[in-house]
Amino acid sequence: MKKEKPQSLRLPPTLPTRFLSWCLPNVLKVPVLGDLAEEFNQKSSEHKGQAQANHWYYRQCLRSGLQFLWFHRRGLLMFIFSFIAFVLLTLWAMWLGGEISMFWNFPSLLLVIPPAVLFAVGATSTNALKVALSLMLDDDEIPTSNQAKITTRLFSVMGNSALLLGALMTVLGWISMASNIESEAFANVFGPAFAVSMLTTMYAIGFKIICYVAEQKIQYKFDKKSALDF
Amino acid sequence: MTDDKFLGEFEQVLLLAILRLADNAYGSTIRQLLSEQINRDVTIGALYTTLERLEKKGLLTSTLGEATAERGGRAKKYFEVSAKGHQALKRSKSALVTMWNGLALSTLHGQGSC
Repeated sequence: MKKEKPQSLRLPPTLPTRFLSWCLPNVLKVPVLGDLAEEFNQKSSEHKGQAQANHWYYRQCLRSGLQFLWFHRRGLLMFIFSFIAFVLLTLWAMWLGGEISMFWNFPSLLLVIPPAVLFAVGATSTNALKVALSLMLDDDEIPTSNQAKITTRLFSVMGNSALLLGALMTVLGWISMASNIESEAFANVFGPAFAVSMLTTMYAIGFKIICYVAEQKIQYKFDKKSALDF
Repeated sequence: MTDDKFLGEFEQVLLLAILRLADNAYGSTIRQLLSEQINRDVTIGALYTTLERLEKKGLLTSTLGEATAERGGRAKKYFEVSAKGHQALKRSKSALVTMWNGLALSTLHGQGSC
């Protein structure tokens, strides 16, 4: 038997659908998004038209999404809030120490973070990185025993590699300073050169803190699941 | 005195809406019924939050139904009031009727009772 496709079928806007889908727990995604799509189609075919249907759909998705956001994405939101608090406190400490610009050196950042991420992927796999990011972003996703082991190892390697790279680059800077600074210029050059050489270590410690928290977050999710199973 | 808690106002309204809709009670129809009958426009999020809570309390049961094209191929979730839900509604109604008995709103201000 041939199925007839309704002529006036319209797809709801993608962006609010994605937002609501992200906010909803897995068990409610199908019925809630289905109900909204059904009502959206009814409203689109009414005389009020497409614009009003879109407006109604955006409002429903935004308000419903915000209702579910705190209950189902609490872990991620707390991680983001703690990260923002960490950045703001660090900036405040920098501001107290003088100009913030003296703590910023893009090449130093490049020497630490990208190689640390590459080392971590090299020690585990690109799939481990994908799973780790997915576990961080999705509170509903619970790691299996293997996933927990691999992803915590990934963050451990990432953080420790960053620390070692930071220390290495700092020592490299010191060797370079010791080899090149002439005695006449020592008083003027040593201070700024020493400060720049320490920046890689500072960035590495900051990155290690973030990796440590991410590692503990995944371990906590796994331990919580294990405790409930027990 | 019973240990069972009484239903909240919105919980009662939802259970009654599901009873009225009989075997066609799912998110969209419940939302539309509330809008048409008591002029209450609730978001789909607020509706499902309460429905989930009632289901966890055992006052509702749900089953997944058919998926249609206008729903983007997604299944409907039909709700039904359980025996425990019927009892809770009766208890709440009885409590309200008892408390309303002998009162008229117009006499409440100033006099306390009729």
